[in-house]
Amino acid sequence: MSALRNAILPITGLTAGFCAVYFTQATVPPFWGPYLSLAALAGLDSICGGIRAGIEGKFADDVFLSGFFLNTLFAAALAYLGDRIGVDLFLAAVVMLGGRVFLNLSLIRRYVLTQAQLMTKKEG
Amino acid sequence: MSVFISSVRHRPWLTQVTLLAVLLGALLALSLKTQDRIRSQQLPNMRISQLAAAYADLRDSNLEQSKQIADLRKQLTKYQQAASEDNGNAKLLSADLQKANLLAGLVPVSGQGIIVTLKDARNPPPKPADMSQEVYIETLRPYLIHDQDIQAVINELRAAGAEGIAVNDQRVVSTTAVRCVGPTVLVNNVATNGSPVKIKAIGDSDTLGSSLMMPGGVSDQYKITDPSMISVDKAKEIILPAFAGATPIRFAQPATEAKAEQAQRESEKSAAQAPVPTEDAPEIKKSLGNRN
Repeated sequence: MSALRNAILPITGLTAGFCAVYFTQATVPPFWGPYLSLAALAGLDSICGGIRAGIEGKFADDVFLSGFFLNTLFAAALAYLGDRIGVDLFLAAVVMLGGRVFLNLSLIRRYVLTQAQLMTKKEG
Repeated sequence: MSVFISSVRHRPWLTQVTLLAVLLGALLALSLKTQDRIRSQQLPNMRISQLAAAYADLRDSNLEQSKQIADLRKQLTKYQQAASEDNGNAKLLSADLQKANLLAGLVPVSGQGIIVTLKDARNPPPKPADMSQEVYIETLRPYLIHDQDIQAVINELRAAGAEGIAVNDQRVVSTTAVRCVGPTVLVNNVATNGSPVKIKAIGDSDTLGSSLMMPGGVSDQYKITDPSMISVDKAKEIILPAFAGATPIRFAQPATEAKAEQAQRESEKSAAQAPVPTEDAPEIKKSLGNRN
């Protein structure tokens, strides 16, 4: 149950931020669309990493904050640079960030499951 | 175990994750909306490298083919000249052909005329803070040169007896369309400069010039926005290039004699039905009748 309670806050925040922008008319120029998507992926990676570190008890706020902002920025900037010099860094970033998101999600899932098992044992 | 419990009891990291999750949500929504817009407007969702490569390829092959067409035209002219030297009959035909080519814009021509330059206004009004982008683009319209402006000039020049017209050095022929595509102007399907647009016309330079400058005419509509949007220069010698595109004709074919006669009758009928503005109408009708 505590896992669920923990999850409520971030999910509410995510939804709030999503709605706040989604119901406005804000868009970026089509040219920057792919880079923005990449930045969003990098942000997702940071959040997942933060949650994992939090559960592991290794959470460090300076690492988390700088990671979120700089990773999103670097991911988009590197992809753009790659396009300019003709190297597909876009693909590299997608593979790398996507892989990490999946890894972190699976680790989080394991922790939550272990925790649930421990709780039932204690109660029983 | 202790790790889990401590993270549940006091969780300073959770607030930070939540705060950044808000940002991530905003980022995702923005990205989603942008992608939606790209899809709905059918804009190519390609990145700069792919677009650049595709563009360069197309432009090169286009250039190559234009050159081929010009070469083939030259060859054709040579053959025609050679043929005309053989006998007198062919010579007459050749002269006819030269005249037809001149009218069709298939040969370069030179002569006196005017150069009309259309430019976007120098100082368009700035965007008021409380105006949305769409409305602003609409209010900006009179300050920019559009295909209609170019068409209006071409129309006026033709009415004033221009014998050859070129827009941005693309010859205007019977199949020419002038279209705005983004910041460029497509003439004969060739992308050219959107501003300034140079329109050259061969004909009596005084008549052509005054046809554009007359009160209530084409140049008058720029008086409110920026008079320098249009400028007209007379020139003693103007050279117009030949039409460089291909002219495949798939649907139109010469009409049979009976059909031609019918079309002629119809055109006479509609000319007779036209409302006549002045009292000396019979005069006009008679002169029309004589001509036919």
